[in-house]
Amino acid sequence: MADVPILSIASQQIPSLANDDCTRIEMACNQLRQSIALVNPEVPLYKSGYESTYTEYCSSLVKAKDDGYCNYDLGYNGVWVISYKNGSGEVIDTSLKSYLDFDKTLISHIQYNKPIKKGQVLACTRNINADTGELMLGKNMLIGYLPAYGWNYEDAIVVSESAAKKLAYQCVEQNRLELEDEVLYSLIDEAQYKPMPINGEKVQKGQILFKVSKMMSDNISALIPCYEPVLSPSDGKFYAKVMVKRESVPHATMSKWLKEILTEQTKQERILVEALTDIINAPHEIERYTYTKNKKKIKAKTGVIDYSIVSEKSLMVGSKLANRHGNKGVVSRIIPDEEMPLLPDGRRLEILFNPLGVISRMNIGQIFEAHVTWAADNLVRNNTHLTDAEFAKKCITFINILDNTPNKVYTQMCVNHIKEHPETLNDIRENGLQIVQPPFFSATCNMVLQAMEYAGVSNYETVLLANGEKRECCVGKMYILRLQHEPDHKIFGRSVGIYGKHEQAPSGSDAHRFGEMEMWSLFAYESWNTIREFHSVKADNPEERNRFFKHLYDQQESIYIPNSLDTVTLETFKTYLKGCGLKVHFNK
Amino acid sequence: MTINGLTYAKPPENNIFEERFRQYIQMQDTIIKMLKDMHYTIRDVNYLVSDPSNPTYSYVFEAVHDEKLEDGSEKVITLLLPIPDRNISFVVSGIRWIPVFQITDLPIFKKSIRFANSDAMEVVLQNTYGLLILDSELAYYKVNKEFWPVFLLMVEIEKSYETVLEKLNVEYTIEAEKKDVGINIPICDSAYINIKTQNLKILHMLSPFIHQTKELEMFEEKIAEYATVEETFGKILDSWRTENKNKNVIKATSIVDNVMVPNGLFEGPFRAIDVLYYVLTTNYSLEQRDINDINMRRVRLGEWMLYKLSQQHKKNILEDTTNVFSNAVLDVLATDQRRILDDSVNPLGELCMMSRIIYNGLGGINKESCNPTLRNLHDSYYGVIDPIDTPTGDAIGICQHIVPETILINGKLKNIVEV
Repeated sequence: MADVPILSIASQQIPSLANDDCTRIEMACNQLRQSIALVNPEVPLYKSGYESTYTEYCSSLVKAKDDGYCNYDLGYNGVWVISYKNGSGEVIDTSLKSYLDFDKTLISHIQYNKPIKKGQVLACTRNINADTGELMLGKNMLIGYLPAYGWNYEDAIVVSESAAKKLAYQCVEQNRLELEDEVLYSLIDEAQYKPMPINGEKVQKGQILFKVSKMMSDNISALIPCYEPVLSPSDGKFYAKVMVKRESVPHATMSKWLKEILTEQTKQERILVEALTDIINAPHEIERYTYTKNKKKIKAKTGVIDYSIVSEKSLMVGSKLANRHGNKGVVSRIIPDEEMPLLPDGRRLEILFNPLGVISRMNIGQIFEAHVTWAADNLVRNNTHLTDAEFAKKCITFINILDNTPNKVYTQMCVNHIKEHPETLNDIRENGLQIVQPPFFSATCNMVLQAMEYAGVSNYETVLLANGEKRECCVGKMYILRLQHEPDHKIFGRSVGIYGKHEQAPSGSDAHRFGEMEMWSLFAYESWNTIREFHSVKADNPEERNRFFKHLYDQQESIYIPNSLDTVTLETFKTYLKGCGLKVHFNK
Repeated sequence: MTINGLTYAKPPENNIFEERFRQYIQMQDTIIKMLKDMHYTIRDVNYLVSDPSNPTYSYVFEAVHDEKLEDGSEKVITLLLPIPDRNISFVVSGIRWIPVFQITDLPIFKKSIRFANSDAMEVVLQNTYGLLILDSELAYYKVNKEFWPVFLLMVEIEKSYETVLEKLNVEYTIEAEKKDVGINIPICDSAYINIKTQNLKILHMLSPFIHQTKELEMFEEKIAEYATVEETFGKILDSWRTENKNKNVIKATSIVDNVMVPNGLFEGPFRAIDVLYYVLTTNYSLEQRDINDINMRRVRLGEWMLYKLSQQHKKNILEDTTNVFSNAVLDVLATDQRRILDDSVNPLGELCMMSRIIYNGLGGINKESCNPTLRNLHDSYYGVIDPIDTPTGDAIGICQHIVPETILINGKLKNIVEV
């Protein structure tokens, strides 16, 4: 097996792939593609070794093609110009990406007028490690396979509060304000002109961002300062970029403000064009990055303000988490840290998976990951006091036990690497030891057990629960991805639509059936009124439905209570019984 | 740098990604040269997303003819060139089980929205720097309400058709029948191709080079019915030229040399540019794709589109303009450049897009009515296509991913180990 490489880029990212069932790997591949960029992502501790092989071919990483230096680095237009020794050059353009999606913006790692080496990372997104060029899709979390009083039943996941904050992502809401003849009034007072918050300022929901003058055709209304407020849609940080087309507006202080921006833009542009002409000869190529080119496209008379509000969203009940081995689930509960199970070394578990979700799915790779990372974690924590030589010896013997690559290639690579870069040992002490397990050359079960014995760790760790009970469970560090699917995005509503003629249930496009399972969940919560609503007003009974629409149409303040529970399905049931030749009578 | 930064596996030299960049740079240079030959000068370069349902991000070249028309108006051509570094998928639309050649750059064209009144048009080069990997696909595209086989559009240019015919030693019989309605030729149990008479002749010309299989025996019999000598591909072109002599159309010169030739006969680089030249000089129109695709595939972009549409609709009510949709689309796709990046969630998704093969699309396999045997793994996949990585659901087996440890040799993918 695997004499010939047969895996795609996504499935290469799965360590110890040979220990997983193929259907779960298929899911894992799709989940890896769906993972969102977290605020502080990490490189996995349990790696496949293919994390950095092909990243240089994607647009979120820019490497230097030759030795050179940086010509233009003001970041004003989001443009960096680099000229190489051989006469060619490069332009790193981040202006397209900034202000929209902060996850996908290129962050530059260049310093002005400092030499650049070939192969150095010039810019990369937050998903990629700037030093090594590795993918960083998720975070290493302390997990345990432990039933939590039914809260992780059926693939649900229980998460601690601190873990929820760790897995936060950035949410950006972008808007555009087009300025025709309007005036922007100051937010504070007339003497101190400040039309909008400063870049990076914290903003609360409902706060006034802009005061825009209302346009009136009468001459009289122009004398009265009346404005229309633009409110911020959510809490977060405010970022804005102004594009000015003309300076002179009726408001004197505003035109002064516009002039300042214009002069700065033109000044920046002049420097940029000078830097670009060293590299590029074609005028249309240079024009693409300039401000005057973009200025022509603006339709509004005076200009445009592109503003965005950036907020961090931590985990919430309903957001989807996944593993690299196809173990996915939805967060069912976020528990305070004190109530999470306690480990003997004083730490608390961060995430609880259901152990029953592993057995039938046959993705044992995740158990391997948990065991190996737990052993490596203990090995590093217990031996930090050793000298560098002893510590290196311990690490390499541990790697050697787990190495299943042909001719132990990986251990030889590690030995050479530590000799060349002795500072790596300090990094291992701080951030933990990373272990490479290539997809088809990963460690066997006996190797893992041997490694655990070497680190002085048993298969099961005794854990103290919040109520004082003691349990044994599998513990380890798991690389966890937060997926794109969020409960906020899935809210769905349908005002008026088609109803089925036989059962009077909603049908056609955008219709959702309220089936048995949904009904059971409502039974469990004893929410009789909502059940009554679903069976009469919202689905079955056309008379009740019409009455309800009328209630809404009249804008009555009282809550609507359906008169009868007689539904169409009940009547059809009656007719079926009558069809059997039975006499049917219902007592009310 | 840590021990953790060690790369266990390194990419092979001359892999598919590198090859693709190289091809792209060649393309860009040749297009600029070609425009100069046609007396056009580049006026403007922009970014654009050409198709919202299956977005391809591209540069837009706006070129103007040196001479003005009699009215005093300008001749404008807009050219779309895909950007290689993001979202290139190998879109192979076609039916399997027929051995055909390889795909180079596949042009698809449509009338421009922006210059609806003028004669200008857009040429969209779809991202198929790909290749048929399996010797088992026939792709055909819908052009001008007709189905054209893909290899007609993607041409290796080495010799003129006459010399090729000499080489092939193919004889034809003349038949007077001229039918525009195509015929359905069964290929396997469930699949069939609709082929027009015009294309059948070309197929017949190529038939000696198609590997003999049981399915093809029936094929050839039917093709022979429609084959003629007089109206070969070159003749059609000649007649087309005589028709359009008086009109204000740029003359085609190099197109005579274009004859499709099966893979492996001639060595040398592929020049799809000349096809592009041909396309530029003709007036083709293609039906616009279904808008509903937006909602299904790219939700985030679709939501944004709907939002923009609603905004635009409000404006248009006030201004009494009619063209609501096209304005909104332009707003989103042309002026709002930053939407470009809304597609892939993370860099891994982007890399996967670059190594993806999709069999559905224009003239391709339908997701729902696809024969389950087509979804199965094939022996020729080994070392080239990942057996695991396909989406679950309708598109299973239709959307696949290439193994990155492969190298391009004569336009075909081969594993490093095999090489």
